[in-house]
Amino acid sequence: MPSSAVKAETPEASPQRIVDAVGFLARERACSMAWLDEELRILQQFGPLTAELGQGATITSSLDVLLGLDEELAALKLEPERNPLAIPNVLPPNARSRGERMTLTIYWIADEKRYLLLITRAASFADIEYRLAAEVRARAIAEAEVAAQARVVQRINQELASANRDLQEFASVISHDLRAPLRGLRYAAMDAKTALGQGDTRKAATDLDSALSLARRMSGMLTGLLDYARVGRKVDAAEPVDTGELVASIVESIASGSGHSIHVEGEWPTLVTVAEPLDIILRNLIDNAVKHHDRQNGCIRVRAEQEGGRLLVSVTDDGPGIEPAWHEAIFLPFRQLVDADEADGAGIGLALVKKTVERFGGAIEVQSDPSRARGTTFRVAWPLTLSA
Amino acid sequence: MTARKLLLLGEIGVGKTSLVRRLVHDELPTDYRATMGVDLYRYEIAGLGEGGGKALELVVWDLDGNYGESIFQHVYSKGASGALIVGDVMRQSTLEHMVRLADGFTEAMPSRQFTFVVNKLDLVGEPEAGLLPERLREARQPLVWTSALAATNVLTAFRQVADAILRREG
Repeated sequence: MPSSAVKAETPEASPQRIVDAVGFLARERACSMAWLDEELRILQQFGPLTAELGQGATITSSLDVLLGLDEELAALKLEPERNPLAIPNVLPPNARSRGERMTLTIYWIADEKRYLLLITRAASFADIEYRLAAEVRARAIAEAEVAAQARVVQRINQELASANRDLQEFASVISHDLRAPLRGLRYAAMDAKTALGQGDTRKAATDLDSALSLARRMSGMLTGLLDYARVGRKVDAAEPVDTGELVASIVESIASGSGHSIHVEGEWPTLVTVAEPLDIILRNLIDNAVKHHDRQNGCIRVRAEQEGGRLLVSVTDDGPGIEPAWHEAIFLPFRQLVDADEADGAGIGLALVKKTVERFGGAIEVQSDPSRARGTTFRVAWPLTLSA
Repeated sequence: MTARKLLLLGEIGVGKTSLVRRLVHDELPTDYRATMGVDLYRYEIAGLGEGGGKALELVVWDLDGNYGESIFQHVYSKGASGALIVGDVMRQSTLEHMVRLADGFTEAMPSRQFTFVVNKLDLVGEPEAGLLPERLREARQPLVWTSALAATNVLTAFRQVADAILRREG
């Protein structure tokens, strides 16, 4: 900016300085300008775009485009390398036509101790530039859509793989785990028949009791298997769930008459989540801690805390513990650490818990090593917000 | 009337211009033209503050989406009192970009107010937190689901940030 330009309006300006100033304004395609004092108050204005500005008013409160820029403009006086300040390609407030863009440039004229605001018509964008921008946008959107479709395909593939694993698991369970009690049932029935043939009704009655017991066990296993199969197939609606109330009701129903003490600790928030699956998880873990305890007066601690986007729930008992070698197998259907005849239940609980947790995007782990200390802790990370 | 500068930030095509034109003119652009440079809009929001007795004039800077995070080094962003950071619910990359813009805004303009806006709600029907990236779900800043097309929650989003600006300034 030639300093001579700023003297254009002064009567004593030399002809050369007037020529310089006019040349500068023409080059810049200036259409309006204003002189401002050190406090950014308007001293004089010229041209249509500044016609409505009142003299004495502060430019930063008069022109929307300079709103909030007091510090930036003050800095021009102290930092010559920032002088001038240009705000390019501005469309004024509420304009309905896009052809009125302007560029505002503010110079600090140190010799004069005042600012010059120059408003120039901005070079208009060609249609080809708008078309290019529109194509960039269309491409960005198309790429995002392709990526979204890829994610859907990936999710469906994962669900198919999971369904295939379930199918194989089922086939294995039905062919192996259900065959054992069925074989026992057949042997018991054959023994009863033999005993009746020999007239030994007492032995026949004992064999039939065994057959009934095995039939009940098979019935329990089938019920458990159906529960396990239903996880993920039933649509559970998310609703506000007071997890504190939920865990309290579960503890009350399990602790009553068990002889064990169950302590609920930590912070249990109200979540928008699926109530029934969460009930299944908590109930099975607490029930297992009680059921598999080797003493009459065990202590069980149920704790919750929020971390990141997850609710971390732990169920800790002071029971006999679980050998590390079993830490994976206990999550398979019908795997129990004690003899099936001794166990109370079908052996599906932890498998059901694991499948339910993972169905809703959570994770479960077990920590226990009886060679070091008694007790077992199951930790569940449950998402605070359910994914679709 | 108190006037404050508000930035509209977000990737290209997320609907920034549609939001502000819906607010100011209650209309949508009839043909898409990318914003090149900056478009200014002025809009008064009344009924703010406790008791609803306050008003604020917003000078909304609808910025060219191509600037990305470099906008915070540009003169356009200087002197802003707040921002709406906008994403498109159907384009995950724009939602992830919102978080980066929020980080840049907080660093460049500490203590200034901003609100997240997830636009194009009409395409999914109902707000669904599962569609948002984890950092956006967990963010403490307010988040408003909008549809400029269906005129859903547009004023709410601007009102939210206007209220926050007034609260900050006491």
